[in-house]
Amino acid sequence: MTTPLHITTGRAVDGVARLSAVGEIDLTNAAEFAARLRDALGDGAGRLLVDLTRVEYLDSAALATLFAHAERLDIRISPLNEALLTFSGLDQLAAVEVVAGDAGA
Amino acid sequence: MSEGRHPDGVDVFAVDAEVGRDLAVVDWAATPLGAPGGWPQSLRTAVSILLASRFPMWMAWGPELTFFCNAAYRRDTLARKYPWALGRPAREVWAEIWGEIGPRIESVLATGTATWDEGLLLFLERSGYREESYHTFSYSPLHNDEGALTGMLCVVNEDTERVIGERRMATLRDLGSDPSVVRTEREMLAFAAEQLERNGRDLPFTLTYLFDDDGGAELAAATGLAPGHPAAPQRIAPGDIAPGDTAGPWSIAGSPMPIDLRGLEGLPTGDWAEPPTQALLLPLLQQGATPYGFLVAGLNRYRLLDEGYRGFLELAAGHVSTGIASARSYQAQQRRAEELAELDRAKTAFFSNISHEFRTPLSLIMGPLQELRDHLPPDDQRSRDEVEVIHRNGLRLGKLVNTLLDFSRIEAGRMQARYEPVDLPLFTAELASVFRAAVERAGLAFDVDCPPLPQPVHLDRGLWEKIVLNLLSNALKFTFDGGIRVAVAARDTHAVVTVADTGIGVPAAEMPRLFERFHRIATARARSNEGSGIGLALVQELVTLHGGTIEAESTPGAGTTFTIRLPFGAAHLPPDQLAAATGSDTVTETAEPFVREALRWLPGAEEDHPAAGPVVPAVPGDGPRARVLVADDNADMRDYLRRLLDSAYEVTTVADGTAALAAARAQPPDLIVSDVMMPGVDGLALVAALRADPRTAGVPVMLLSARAGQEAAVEGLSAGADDYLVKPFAAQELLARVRANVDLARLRNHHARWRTALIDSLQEGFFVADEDGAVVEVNAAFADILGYPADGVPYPAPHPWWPDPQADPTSHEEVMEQYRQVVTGRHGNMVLPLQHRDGHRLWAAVTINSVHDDAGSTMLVGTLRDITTERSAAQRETALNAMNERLADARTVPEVLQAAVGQLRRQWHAAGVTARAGALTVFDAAGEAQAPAVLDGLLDLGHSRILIEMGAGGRPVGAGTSLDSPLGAVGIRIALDPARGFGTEDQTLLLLLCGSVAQALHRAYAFDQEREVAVTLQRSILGPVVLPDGFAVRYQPATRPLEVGGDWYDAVDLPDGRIGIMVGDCVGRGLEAATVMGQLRSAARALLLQATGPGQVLTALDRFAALLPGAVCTTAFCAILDPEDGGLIYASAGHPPAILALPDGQSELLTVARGLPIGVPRGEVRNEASVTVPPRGVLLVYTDGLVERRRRPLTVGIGNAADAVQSHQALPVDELADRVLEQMIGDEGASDDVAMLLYRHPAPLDLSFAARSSELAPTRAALRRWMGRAGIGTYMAQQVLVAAGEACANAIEHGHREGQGWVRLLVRAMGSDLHLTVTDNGSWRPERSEPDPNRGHGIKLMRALMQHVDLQTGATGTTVEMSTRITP
Repeated sequence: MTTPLHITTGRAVDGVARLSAVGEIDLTNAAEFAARLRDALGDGAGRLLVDLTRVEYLDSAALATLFAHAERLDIRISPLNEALLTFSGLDQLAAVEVVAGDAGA
Repeated sequence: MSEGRHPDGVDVFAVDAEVGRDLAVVDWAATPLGAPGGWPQSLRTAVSILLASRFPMWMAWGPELTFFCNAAYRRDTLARKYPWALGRPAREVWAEIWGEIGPRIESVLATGTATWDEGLLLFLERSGYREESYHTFSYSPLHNDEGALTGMLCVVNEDTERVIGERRMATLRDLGSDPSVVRTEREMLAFAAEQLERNGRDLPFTLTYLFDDDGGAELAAATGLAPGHPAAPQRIAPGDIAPGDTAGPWSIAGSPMPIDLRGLEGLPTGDWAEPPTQALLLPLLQQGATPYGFLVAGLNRYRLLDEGYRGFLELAAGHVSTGIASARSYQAQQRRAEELAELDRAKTAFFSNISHEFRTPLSLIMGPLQELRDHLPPDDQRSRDEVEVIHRNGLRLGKLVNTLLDFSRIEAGRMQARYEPVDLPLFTAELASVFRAAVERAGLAFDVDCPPLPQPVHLDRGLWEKIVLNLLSNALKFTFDGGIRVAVAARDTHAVVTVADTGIGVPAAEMPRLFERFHRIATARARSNEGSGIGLALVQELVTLHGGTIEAESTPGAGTTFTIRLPFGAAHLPPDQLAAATGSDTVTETAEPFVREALRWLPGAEEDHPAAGPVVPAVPGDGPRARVLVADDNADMRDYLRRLLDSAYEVTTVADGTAALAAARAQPPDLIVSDVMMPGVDGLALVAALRADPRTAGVPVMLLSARAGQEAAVEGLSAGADDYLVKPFAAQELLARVRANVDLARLRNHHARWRTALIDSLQEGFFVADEDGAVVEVNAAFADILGYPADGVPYPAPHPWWPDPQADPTSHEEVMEQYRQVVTGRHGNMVLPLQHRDGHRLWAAVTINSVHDDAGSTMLVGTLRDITTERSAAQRETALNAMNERLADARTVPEVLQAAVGQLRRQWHAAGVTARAGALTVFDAAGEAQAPAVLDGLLDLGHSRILIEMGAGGRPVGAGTSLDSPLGAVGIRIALDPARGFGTEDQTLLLLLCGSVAQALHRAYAFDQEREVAVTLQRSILGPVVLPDGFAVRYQPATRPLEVGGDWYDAVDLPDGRIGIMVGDCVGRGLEAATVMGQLRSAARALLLQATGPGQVLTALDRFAALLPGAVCTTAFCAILDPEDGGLIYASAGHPPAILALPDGQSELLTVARGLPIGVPRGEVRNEASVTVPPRGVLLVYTDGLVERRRRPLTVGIGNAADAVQSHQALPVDELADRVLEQMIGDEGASDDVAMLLYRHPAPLDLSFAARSSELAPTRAALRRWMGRAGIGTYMAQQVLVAAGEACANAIEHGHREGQGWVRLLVRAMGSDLHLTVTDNGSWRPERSEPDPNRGHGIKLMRALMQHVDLQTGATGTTVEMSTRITP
């Protein structure tokens, strides 16, 4: 069984590419998350907004995916999971914005 | 014998051949104990200790208290009851004293506490009659293999001989206690009766009859019986007395047979309940005459009239006889003194009045005597000597008579002097010259300086002679060195004559009385003490008659000078007494007596045996002749006394007191006859010196003195003389007195020998010490006890038997302290550690009294008893008790051995003690366990044997023994201090202690077994509970007595997911309570499964209990827990409140729903209450055994229990349960059983799943839910979730790769800590060699998120332990 994860990608009104994830990211769906992230980034050099504020759980597999493309990512994360980015040092490579959401609340 | 043989070959009776043989033939099968083959180990141990002991012991065992004893007890106490007594009920053996000892034995068996009696009077019937006997004994409890009190051991010492001996000695001592005050016969008899009456046990009554002059007998004293009683007629008429037959009611045959008293009514009982049945008649013997009378003594009906008793009665009668003799002798003495005083007065008057009458007969004696001297044949030396003595003393008598006459003349004014002009220097020098020979023979210079005077001096020649001769005689008498000077000179109108000596001088205090008539100067030294004391008085009178003066100057030690002044001319003299000069300057015969007397004072003047022929005993003696020592400074008197006494006695003569003392000390004579007045040591001083010396204190002294009068006699007698004879005396009187005194002395010596024999026959050591503490007399027992014999006295303090101050300073100081108290006047009883001459140590009970002897000095009289054995027995008792006390606390075999070696080490102050039982070695030592090889050897040593290892100098360095135990033989070795030694007493004690240890080992072993059984039984009743998660339960049986109990616990999963909880406590113990408990527990469980709430459960149980006997009054706590939210509904039936320990350190008691115990309320619905067990809170439900302690309020115990939970909050619930139990019950064990239930909310999360990544999400969901129950905040929960997720992901990755992998997640909240454990059965990747860069963050994250992360990777899998502190 795969952990429930719903990912949507697209462009915002301002034209910035965007990926939103809802659910949990763990070993079972980290590969899917990585593939969708690569797709959303495309071949260009533009930035990607990764909205994880509604992700209830993410583990080191998800972090590894984020690390791989960190310099092009703007990450939105809930306060609950902020510590993960801080402890892993991802916040120093990617732009991280903590947004209070309903994730995990 | 085959019956007494134990199957494993140990013969229980073999320890003592004799008693053992008799024990072996007892029909044991007929006793409750059964055949010895089936006896328990404890009984066999007790019997072998008993038989091995040399101390008297008996024991009783089993329901009928079957009797055993050892050889020492048989010998000392059992008498004819042996061997009948063996194997019989003790009540039957000692039926006659069961009233006394029964309650003691019952007390021992009831309480387990030993008894102790000292010198208890018991009436035994062991020798055919009821016998007075005394015993010092202790009853100690004996336990069987199960530890129950099953018998008792009596260690006993029979004191009968000692107690009775002491009592009799006390009576004899009291009878002889008062010799210094001479009494009348009546007083003496009253005194004796008082002493006899005080011993109402040996002398229920006594009657003293004295024969009177007409042959009848008068009752002189009675004790116990009133005079006039039919058995005690006031007087027995002569006709009723037939010597050798009867006297009134009493046979006076002197028969040694006791008189039967049966038939005599109303006899006194003395100190007993019943009157005597026999009496003994004892003659009051008089030395060499018919008895004074007789003594009738009622006999102690509880003692045989044996040699000791008879001897005591004879000595008592002897004391009475001696008292009568001394009282009668004193009376006679008094009469004699009065008669002598009267005689002396008459003699003095007679002498003064008619002394001149002596002159004629004296002249008629001296004249013919002079003739006789001249005509005796020269070869008749004996006659010449005798005549010489007569002549000398005739002259002396004449001189005394003349002097007295001169006095009476002067007094009467009838002195007929005839003064003529005399050439004073010439005449004086002439007089002096007659003394020259005597002075020179005395080794003195004699200087006569008499130059002519210008004119003659009027003198009466005769009187002047007396003046000069008296002065010269006086000078010679008191001068021992230097010389005598006589000088004449003219001074103005006077002629001055001086007589000066370099003698001893006169003390200044005596100078005024120098010329006093009859006053004698007390001098330290003189050539003779002869003299009337009137010489100088006469000189002064005579000088005064001449109109002159005399003065004396004296310096003690330098000499004396007499100066006479005589006026020239005749004007001062009565004219009618003047005469013309006769021209004769020759010395008259007046001088001769003076000179001869002076010569007798000088050494070499006498032949000591002038007239002694061969000594022929006139009285053929029956034994050696008595020896008499004569001391007199007068050689004639000495010779005279020798001649008088020679025929019947062996006579030694000496000339003064010093010589007498030396002779008496060298060989004490039977009698000393001494003159009172002697130069140097006089008669009185001699008596004092003799009395002060124990060697001569008993020698009788008879004083001779010229001083008559009662005062002088009293002075002599009070100085300690035995008799006093005034000179002159008749030869017959002297002989009679000497004979009486010698006889008395022999009688006294006979008594002294009796005394010596008596003292020597004492079992107790006896000694006498003088004021300085020097021991001057000891008896044979003393010599035996301490090794210092009588002929070694005196033993000055510090005594050689005191402990060595170097080797044993403590004991030495103890003895010194007691000694200091004794010499400063404190007397009494003490127990001292002393040292025998051969070096062995002993304990002695010493009793000391001070007495004043006749000379007034203080003596210490003491007795000494070796109480080492008694003391050892008491110490053994103490040691045994100490050991048992220590063993009582030991529950397991190692604990018993540890306690035993510890106590053994303390007992012997040993360097170390080691015990070995199989593989188990236990020791108590400063260093290491010692000598394993020795211990191995001990195991084969055999029963009741001790192996002593000797070290250098033959001192014991180790003692070992072995004992039986359920584990096999146990070897015990004590490393001894060689200085202490290890004697028989120590060996006995060691065996006794090992017996206790053996019993304790059996007990401990049995205890371990029983405990195992009991716990197994209880747990089987409680059932194999599969507990819901989060719970821990414990059951602990009561320690002692070890029994299953009525406590239970239960926790059961209910169908609705909740958990039913029950803890209860049935009344009582044992199987019955356990049965009730089992039924209640099943019922409660069923009710919990059906009922909706705890109140209903308890109410239903009330009804159930009504049907189940023994269930009423059970207490119970019942609750239903919701494990999700910790909600708890509870009810209590009289049960101690459950405790809720909160994570913040506070505790709460669940006391809201309280109720009465089960079965007490009828039909009412019980109350319920609700409470929430908060996250990480702990619920403790228990029975009262956990918290109830004697003398402590229950609330304190409950508080302690809450604290115990709080202090171990951080532990898993199982460990928490162990700690609480340990802390609350500790090592000593509980006196009641304990059931306990613990729950911590929430129960740990314990998930196991296959190593598949699909398990991750459900696992996370469960963990998230659990953290909610555990009260962990969202933010923190998220971090825990990630850390756990990483760990699980790793485990799955790994396990998955391995194939059939599984992962387990265990999460527990304990106190303020959260613990996670993730376990898999794969192998973890090394952190650094992580090949997949994507997975590198996992472990880092775990470490960042949790406070502790620990990875353990092994062949069988990997465990990750993580923990963190729970923050709100």
